[in-house]
Amino acid sequence: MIRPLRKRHIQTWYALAVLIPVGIIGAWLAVPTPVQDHLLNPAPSQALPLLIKSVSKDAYTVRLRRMEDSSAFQLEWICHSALTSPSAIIYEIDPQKGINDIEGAALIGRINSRGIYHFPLDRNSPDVHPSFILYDIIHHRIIDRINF
Amino acid sequence: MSVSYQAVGWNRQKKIYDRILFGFCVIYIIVFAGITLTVNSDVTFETLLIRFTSTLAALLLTIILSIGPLCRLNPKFLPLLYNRRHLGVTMFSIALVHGAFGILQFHSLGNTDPLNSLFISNTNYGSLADFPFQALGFFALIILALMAITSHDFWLHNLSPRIWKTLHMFVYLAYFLIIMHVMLGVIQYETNPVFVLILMMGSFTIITLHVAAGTRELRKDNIKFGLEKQGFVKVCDVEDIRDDRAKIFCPKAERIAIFKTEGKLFAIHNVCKHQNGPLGEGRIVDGCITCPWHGYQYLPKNGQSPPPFKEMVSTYDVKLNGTEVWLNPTPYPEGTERPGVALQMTS
Repeated sequence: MIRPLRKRHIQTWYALAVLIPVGIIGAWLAVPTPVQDHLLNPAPSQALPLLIKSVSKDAYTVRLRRMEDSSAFQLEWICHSALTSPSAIIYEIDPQKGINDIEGAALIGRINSRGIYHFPLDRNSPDVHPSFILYDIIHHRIIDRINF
Repeated sequence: MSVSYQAVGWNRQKKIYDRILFGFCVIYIIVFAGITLTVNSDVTFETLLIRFTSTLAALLLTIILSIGPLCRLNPKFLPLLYNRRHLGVTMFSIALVHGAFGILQFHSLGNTDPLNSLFISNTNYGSLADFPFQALGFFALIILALMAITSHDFWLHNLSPRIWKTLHMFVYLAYFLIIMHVMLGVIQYETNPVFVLILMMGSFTIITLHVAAGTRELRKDNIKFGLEKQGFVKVCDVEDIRDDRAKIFCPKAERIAIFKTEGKLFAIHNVCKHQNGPLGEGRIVDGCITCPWHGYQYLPKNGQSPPPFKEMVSTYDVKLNGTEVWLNPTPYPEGTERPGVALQMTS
């Protein structure tokens, strides 16, 4: 290697020795709280015994389920075919409180591909008219609304 | 170009190198897929593919970036350098699969052109947590593509080693973009600190190696040679140079290697014409100075490659005063024959 290139090499690495740690630490500190990795947690695979309600669409069927004693509630998402937005997130919204998009909505889970997904719903009593949105996190747009 | 032209000059070493590389990649993929499927059996093929290609490409890039400084610090690593370009092209190919499937999975099923979608689907450049990290990976892939395309000696000769080397230094920018692509991408979701620790360990290793090797080289360049007589500077004692080896000095702008062979001392330009390898770190093989990087050869007396090759480097005058070696750093035109200095004169 010639001398000017050697010099440029070391100058570049002095700069990277600062930039890389700053970049890593900065990005690490920027991880949102609460973290979004709940999306990657596998959902429980067993369906709860009682079916409360069901909504059918072309690409998927969405069902509300619960335990017999109402101790647990569940959203069952049956994807019949692959979604056109592979990274789709389900949020529960509350139009009566003015929550119509992901701002303030409760995160339920992620749909990756064709298959059956089960997501626990955090509630004490059955809401007979829950609403959900399917959100494309890459393109930042609502794919669908599911109203029971 | 003759009819006997071969795109890649395969030899035994290159074949062994590539077999080991191929075997490593296959074993990595099997192990990665096995662990992933054990931990998360619901993972889709596309996701698995995107993940093992990304991690494998990052691992290979870390190895590639470590080879250069490791060789500067310890010549035992030189065999790794010999076929580093195949390692680079392999890494790019794997990264390309990652990029292509990423675009396919996340951008090809919408009503927007996938490449267009890559840039317009997320424009939150002001937010670290929601930064469009995919664009960073895309630009890194473009740099790696340019490097892979120009990795062949055809481009090295046509662009000149200086421009080629400068172009290939953009790999450092690509590395930074990849680090940020990972940190602003998957790390924002997979917050397990193990991933960050692995990334930090890799980059810390590379930075340490480069800074250590670079600082050492800079120190060598900055050694002052005070004694000067009639254009000659005193550089060392004759016993400091081993037989069929050289010592390197930088009394002026560029490094000069003084070789001791067949009872004589010869001085030539230290920079190989092929890829600017350090000739002075090589040794005499079959009477020729042999570059430690890729085996290019030069005759000690005139700095010319033996026929039919045409590479030439500058030669210099060297003389002895007792056991002291004196060097004139003014170069002769490339390929100029110099008599060298006979060691018997010292007695």
